[in-house]
Order: sequence, then structure tokens, then C-alpha cells
Amino acid sequence: MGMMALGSVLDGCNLFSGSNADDSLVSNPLSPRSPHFQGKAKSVIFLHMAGAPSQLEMFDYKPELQKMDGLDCPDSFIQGKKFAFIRGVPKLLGPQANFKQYGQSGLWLSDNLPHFQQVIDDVTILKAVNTDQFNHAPAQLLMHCGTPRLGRPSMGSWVTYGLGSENSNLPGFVVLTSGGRNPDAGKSIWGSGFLPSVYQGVQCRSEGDPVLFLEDPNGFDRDMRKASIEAINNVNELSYKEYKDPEILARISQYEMAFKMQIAVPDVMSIADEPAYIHEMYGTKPGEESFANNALLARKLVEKGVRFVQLFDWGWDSHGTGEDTALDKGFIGKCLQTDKAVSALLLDLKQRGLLEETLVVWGGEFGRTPMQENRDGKQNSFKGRDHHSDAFSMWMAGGGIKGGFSYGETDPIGYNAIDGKVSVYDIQATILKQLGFDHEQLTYQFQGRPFRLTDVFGKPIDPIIA
Amino acid sequence: MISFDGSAREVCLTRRIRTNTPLQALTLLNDSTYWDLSVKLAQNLLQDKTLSLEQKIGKGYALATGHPINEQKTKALQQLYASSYQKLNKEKEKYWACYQILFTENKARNWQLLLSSPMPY
Repeated sequence: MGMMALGSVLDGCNLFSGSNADDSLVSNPLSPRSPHFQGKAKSVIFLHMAGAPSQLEMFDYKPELQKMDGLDCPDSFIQGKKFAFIRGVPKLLGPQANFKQYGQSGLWLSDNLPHFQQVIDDVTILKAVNTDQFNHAPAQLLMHCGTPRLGRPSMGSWVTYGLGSENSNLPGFVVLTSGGRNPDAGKSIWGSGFLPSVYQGVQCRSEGDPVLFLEDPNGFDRDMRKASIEAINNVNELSYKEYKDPEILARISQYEMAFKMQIAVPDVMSIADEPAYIHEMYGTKPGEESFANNALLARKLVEKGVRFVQLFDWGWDSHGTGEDTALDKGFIGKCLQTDKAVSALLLDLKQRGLLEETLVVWGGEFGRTPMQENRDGKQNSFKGRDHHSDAFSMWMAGGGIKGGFSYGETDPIGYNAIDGKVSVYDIQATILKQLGFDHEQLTYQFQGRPFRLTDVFGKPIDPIIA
Repeated sequence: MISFDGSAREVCLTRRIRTNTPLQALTLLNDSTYWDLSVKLAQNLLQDKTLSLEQKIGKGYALATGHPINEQKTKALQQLYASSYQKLNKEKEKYWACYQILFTENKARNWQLLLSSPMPY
């Protein structure tokens, strides 16, 4: 049975179609499966900073840019290029932060990230990531679904489709948001696209109870709840025999999952039970929506076997149109909010021996320009940068990735990638490789051809793999 | 609404994305609104003396889903009713809250008197 299931994954057959359909009624679509080969990572925590954090004030130190601060941007950089908001000739903007070298690896880091200094030797920083999208929604879709268009499954869905989940009492793919808003691309970046919807991301609430309606109504005990869910599922199975709609099977699984979550979730997702020193380490704010709460929840979920946890933090779009988006005001606030929790997450995972098996990825959907944004040709009132797709920074840690390593370089003003250029597809291929997949072989038959997360692109970034 | 992919109305949607999550299951099972609605539906069905149990189940299913029920589904729901009724009847004190809501129209009625009289089927 296991070999058949593995075979169907490798061939990209639908798990729910064909004569195997009735078998799938008894098998669990989220049961753990083996990947193509033994991978280093068992789980992924993807920290996405929606809006695009400025790499020039965080990881990519450009002293040359500092010297050219205030000068007109040379024509060679902007001729023939289209920008989101920059018009005419913008001025170069030097780094708005001080950089120093830290850790045994001596990697450059800005003073906006004081806590990250402690974990710098555990991460690989990628400085020459490239994308071809300069608007938020298409770029986020590209990063997470492999295309700037809607309709394709997200990374977490591909991963749970390929690997299932270790813990059958919790969803395999959980999403947590912070920053006050959902990312521009909306729920599609954790959607299941054309994969069976049982693989979609389950978004838990960030304020108050992470999951609502866990408690049965007054007077209703667990046996009655179990009996009623069984009856609902029986009726649905009869409907499935009639209509053969695979979504009915997903509905049956989700009702079973709901029953199990009623027991499992209060335990796992209550951060109030954590000891005081953990709260202190992360900087959590119980009861409020906060990135730190979500980071702690991510560790707890991964500890319990959740396969893919994605955190979206909104508010990094530092255009400089207002105080919130100014590099010397709002942006610093965003760094303050997240730096401690991110570093705590890595330290916490390391202390619990989970970091080797957990791949942590951090980044935005693109980067920010070395030029001060001048919307409609007029310089913005605050210091800010426009969207920049040619080169930006991301980092990865754990899951078999090198520590204290830097890959990729940009030119002296941080505009183009000059060495070690990687695409968004390469990032995706690397993540899949660390989980044990050949990204070209994890496919699903749809619209007459096999689809995969990386579409027809991508190559794993081998130099960063330990 | 958010659990069921309702639009936030900031942008146009040509079509709502269809999702299927355990959070939706939990809402439909335990949200007090759905509980109140289902209790009222049950009360209405139970009080209709002209229909048999099977017919009541069929009517309830049609009202809830918009589809007619078939024999096998009626059987599945009938089993649930029978096992729940047995439980309710055997341990009236434990399931007092359920009993009270389903079988009494006047909540102030003397519950001792009720407990001693046979439950309507």
C-alpha cells in the first residue's frame, strides 16, 4: 500500500481519481509519506515579511552607496526600466543604518537587528535573490505559488501533498498573520489551487483564541459529538458515491480533523502555558495580535509535528510616504517588533534540538531600490525606497543549510546581482530538496500536463547546502 | 464570514475561492448561531405530529441542504437519532440541558414532573 501511494506521488497521479477512488475513502490524505530521498528537514517555518523589507538597511552593506548619497541616480541603472512609483530621475539614498560584522563568520549586519547578532552563525544569507515582479500581489504569488497569477497551489500545499503530516490531530499546514492586515495577494498564497483542498493552509487567528468554536455546546458530550460527526460523514460518503466530487472527501477529512483538533489544539496553541523565560525570550504579548506570539506558536506547532508553518507579517513597505513607511521611523519599529522574536525562534529551536530538522526561511516578495523614492517625480517627504526586483536579500537556517554563510553579491550600490544570482524558483527548489524532493518530480496532473511548484524553472542552490 | 472566504470588499472578486478547512467544520458544529438554528429546526420537526420519524428526517435534510434525501441517508440519520434518544432517556439528569431545550416548550415547567413522565419519541 505504501509503495502504491509513493508510486502515485512520483507519477503525479491524482490521489483521488480513477479506480483508486474508493480506496481513498479509507486512507487518510494527510498520512505521512516518504519523499524521493532522505531529506534533512522534516518541517518548514516560512517567515514572510509582506511589503518587502529593505535589504539595504538590514543585510546588504553598501558603503559605496553611502558615499553617493543624494546624487542623481546614474542613467545606466534607470534607462528603459519601469518602477512601481519612481518617475523621472531619483536620487540615491545611502544606507539609513550602521553596519558591523558579527559572529565567528564575520557577516555584516545592521544595528536594526541587535538580537539577530546572536544567531548570525546559524544562517545563510542570500544577497542576490532575483524576481521579475515589482508589485506585491503578483510577487507574493510568485514566491509562494510559483506563478504571478492566481490559481496554483501554494508551497505548503505542495509539501503536505508530498509528505503528509506527522500529527494527524492537527492541520498539516498552518498560517498565522500579524501586522494588522493580510498580505496583498490574500488567501491564495496559502491556498491549495488545483490540489485537493484538504492540503490548504489553515489560518489560525492572531488575537485571542487561535481557533474558535473548539468547545461543544453546553450539555453535549464527546461521545455525542463523535456520533454526530460519524453520522454526518456517513451521509457525506453516500453523497460521494453519488457525485464522485473529491471535495466531499476533503470535507469528510476536515470534519474528522475538527473532532481531533478539539482535543489537540487547546494544548498546543495556548502560549499562556509556556514558562516566563520563554515569554521573555520572544517578547510575546498574550491576548494581542503579535508577530512574537506567532513565532512562539510556530515553534510549538513544529514541535508537535506540523509540517509547514507560515507566518505573514504586514507593514514592511517602506516607501517613505508617511511616518509608518519611513526608513528612520516606521521601518525601525518593524525591525524592533520582529528581530527579538525571530532570533528567539532560532535559539529556541536550536536548544530543543529541532533546528537540524526544521528549515526556517525569511524574506519578502522583492527588495527595495538604492534610490530614494520620488513618487510622481517629487521626492517623498520621508526617507523611503521603491520596490526593487533585481536583487534582494533572504536568509535560511536549519534543515541542513550552512550556518554563518553568505551567498550572492550585488554591485557597489546594491542595484544588480553580480554574483550568485538566484531566482525565486531556485529558493523553492532548495526548500523542496531539503525536504527530500526532486522539485522536477513532485508533480500533479492538471489541464493535460504535469504541474509542479517550480513550473518549468528552478535549480536547488547547492552551495548553501551543508 | 472570513472562515468561509467572504470577500473583505476592498477589491473586486470574480469568484470566491472555495476552501475546505477544519475551521469551517468547527464553526458549523459549535458556533452558537448554528446551535440555535439547529435546535429550532429540531423543535419544529418534533412538534409536527403529522409526520413519521423518517419523514421528519427527510424534511429536515431537505430544509438544510436543498436536496431530497434517499433511503440510505435516512437510515444513517435515523441511527444517530436512536442512539442519541437512548442516551438522553437513560441519563436524563446528565443531559438535562438537551432534554429541556428539545422537549419542553415552557422552560419554567416543573422538571421533576417532566423527569417522571415518558419522553415523546
